[in-house]
Amino acid sequence: MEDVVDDLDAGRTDDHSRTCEHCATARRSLENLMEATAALVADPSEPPPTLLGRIMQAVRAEARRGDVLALEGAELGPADVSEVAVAAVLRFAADSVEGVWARSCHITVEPGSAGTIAVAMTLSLRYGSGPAEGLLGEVRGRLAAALAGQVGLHAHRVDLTIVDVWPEEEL
Amino acid sequence: MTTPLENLGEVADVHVASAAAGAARATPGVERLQPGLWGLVQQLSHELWERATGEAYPDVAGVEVEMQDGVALVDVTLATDGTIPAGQVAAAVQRAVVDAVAARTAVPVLSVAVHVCEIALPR
Amino acid sequence: MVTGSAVAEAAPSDGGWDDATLVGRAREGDLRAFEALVGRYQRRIYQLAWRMTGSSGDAEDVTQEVFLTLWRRLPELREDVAVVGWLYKTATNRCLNVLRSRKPTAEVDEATTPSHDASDDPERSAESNEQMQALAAALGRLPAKQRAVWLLREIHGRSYDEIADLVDTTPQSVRGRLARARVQLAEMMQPWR
Repeated sequence: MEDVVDDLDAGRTDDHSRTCEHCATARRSLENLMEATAALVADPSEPPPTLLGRIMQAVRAEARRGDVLALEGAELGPADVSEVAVAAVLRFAADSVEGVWARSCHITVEPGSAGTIAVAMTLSLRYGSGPAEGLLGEVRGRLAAALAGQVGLHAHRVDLTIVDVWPEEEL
Repeated sequence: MTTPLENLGEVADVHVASAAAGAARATPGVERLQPGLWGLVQQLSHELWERATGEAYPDVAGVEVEMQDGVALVDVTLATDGTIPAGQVAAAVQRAVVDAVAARTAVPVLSVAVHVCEIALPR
Repeated sequence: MVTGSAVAEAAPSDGGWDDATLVGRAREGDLRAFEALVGRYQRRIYQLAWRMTGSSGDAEDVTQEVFLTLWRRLPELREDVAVVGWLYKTATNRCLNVLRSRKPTAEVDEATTPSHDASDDPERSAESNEQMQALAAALGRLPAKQRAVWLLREIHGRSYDEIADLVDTTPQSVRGRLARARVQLAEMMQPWR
């Protein structure tokens, strides 16, 4: 029967396999298997809709707290925001510029200057999205707006590095 | 069964935590409170609490209370919804927690620390 | 036989980032990037686990554990590691462990045999295609490793090299196992048997 498998794979038939009843039976059952396999590939079973949420809940519960950045304006005790949360806001802001993808984002704090941070971000650009100069200016604007509007911090320094240029069709 | 005496102090903690959690959740810009792994409040088992007070255990996940010489230090960990700067949300939560604990318990609050662990992004 | 027909994914609603970007961001703690990875691959991992274990409950557990493990291992994952291969490898190992840890029953070969005929499983009854039911049942009777090889190749379209790495053997041996699995499945599916 394994010979028949090879023949089927190669699309070969010879006189023997056409006339031999055993081979014909083997061929039919393998074709049967191929059809069933195609049906299984189109498997309608989906993971339960709640699974994604449960996975993320478990991930959040052990998310690395990591470093925190002090927030200004709190008077009745200390207030801080996770650096990771701020980086996520900044990446999202950069992504909102057409043709730009944020890759990594690092935040550092100037000692003794509460509420002020330095941002170092790497970016991918889509080829043909316009002059890089203009795109980077746009990114800077969005980062500053997101920091002010969603976080309440100010960046005294923003370093942007283009690490990748993507051809249009791959986006 | 008797309730161990040392746990009676923690009953007050739960009242403080409950008031703080409710106030923090109701503050504009707060999306949800984020439970941490440790906290004095969680050490009191829910069963013990319900036996001691006859009340259902309140939802205080995300809030930790530490009592020091009769005053409370409150820690709140939360996610903001991204509509208001996190710094402003934190300050508002501090004021709301102090007010709510003063209104519902006799425990003075010394400090409210706010940790913003996540800022929700638009879908 | 059927090749290159990997499980179809839903249209990406995750912004279309490449995996490397998502992994890089998730490594820095970006939950949203990680969620996009989960959204992209949970279906494939769940379906592999379901066909491997024959139980939707086990498949859910395996899927959740695989992604939680990915989150924990992100810092030590090498930059150029293909995350999809890592997921398949981890999921396959988990499934084989689940099957090994099942209580052996009277029949020796049932120790690794999932209950593929569970008629009380609502998802199972959605399998209206008769051929597909026969195949699912036959799959459940294959030895676990052979089942893994067949599923990874025929349903998920993974390469021989990758499968060899997954089940800790040589590509040549994968070809052999795959050929045997096909013949056994074809024979078991014959209606007169």
